[in-house]
Amino acid sequence: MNLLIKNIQSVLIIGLSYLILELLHFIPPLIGILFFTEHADVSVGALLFLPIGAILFTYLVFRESIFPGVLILIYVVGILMNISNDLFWQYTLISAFGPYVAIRIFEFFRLGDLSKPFEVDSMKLLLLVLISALINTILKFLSFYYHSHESTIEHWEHADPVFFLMTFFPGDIIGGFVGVLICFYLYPKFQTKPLAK
Amino acid sequence: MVALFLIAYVAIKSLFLPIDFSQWFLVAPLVIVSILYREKVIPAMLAAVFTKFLILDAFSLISPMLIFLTSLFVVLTPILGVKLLAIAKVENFRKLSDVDFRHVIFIIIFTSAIFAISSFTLYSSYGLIQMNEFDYLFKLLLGNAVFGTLLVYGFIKFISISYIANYLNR
Repeated sequence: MNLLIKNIQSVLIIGLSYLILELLHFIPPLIGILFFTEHADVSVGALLFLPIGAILFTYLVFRESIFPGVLILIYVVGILMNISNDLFWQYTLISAFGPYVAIRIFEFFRLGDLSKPFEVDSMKLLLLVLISALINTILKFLSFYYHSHESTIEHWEHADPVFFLMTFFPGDIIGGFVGVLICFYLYPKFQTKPLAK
Repeated sequence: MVALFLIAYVAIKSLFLPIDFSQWFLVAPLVIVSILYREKVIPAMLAAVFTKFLILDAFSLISPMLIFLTSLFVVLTPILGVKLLAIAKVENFRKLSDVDFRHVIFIIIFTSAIFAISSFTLYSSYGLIQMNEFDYLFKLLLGNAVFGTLLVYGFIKFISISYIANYLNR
């Protein structure tokens, strides 16, 4: 039961971040500043990609127990965003497990103790977000250009590799850091206090 | 150590023959120097990298200002990594005998990732990359990370061996 509640909480947090990102698309001045395209495009990133921060936060708080919830949510989001078949599973797996890999790398290199997530310094969080952004950007770039010569992806002909990197990398850093800080600020406020006996 | 280095060199050279090898030896010296001297040697590093881009890569067609900015980016990345670890209270690199080698490997991988992205951006924006984007970024990233780790490890071992030899001869 505890596992189910953790999964539902993580799905709500990450889903809310995706919803905010979609709602920001409805503000016309922001399209030129943050998104560059009117609809989601696999080769153009958003300069405020909040979901990566939300996923990082949920992995920090709930650890491995939320794998199924995160995977199902990102799968559904991928279907809603119409990601082409060639890239669907690569993008889904990178988005779902990239932040967890970043946390494991952070712990492997002994960069800090993440066992108490609410007591972690903001600078260590920034370091974690940087690792996560690097993993997300580079793996998505490599998966996008892996089949570039014989691919049938229609996006590929219009894609610019420089624009790909220059939108994904800063967007993941800014969005990840902002998303993590917002989650760390808001999450304790929604926690219910235990009833007095 | 020398045998290991040679084996790794031959193995990797046979795997990734088409890439430009001069790129792979850039990260290790930058990381070593920035760990040893930090921000004091930025002008020297900048001069070295700028010369490397300008002369060795025959980039005379591109505006020197852009090469200078890219060099600045490449030079500041290992310094940024060292400073970031110091600000986050992970490692201050003051006492080199107490440095955890995993932190050094982290700085090498971090620098090679940023170097791969910035180098790709510069080369690609002027159409200077003849090979596939995947091959270029992957080989540059892996080559820099592997060679950087090997060279820095070899450098540390060399320093410790020479230190012991000096100590015995005293």
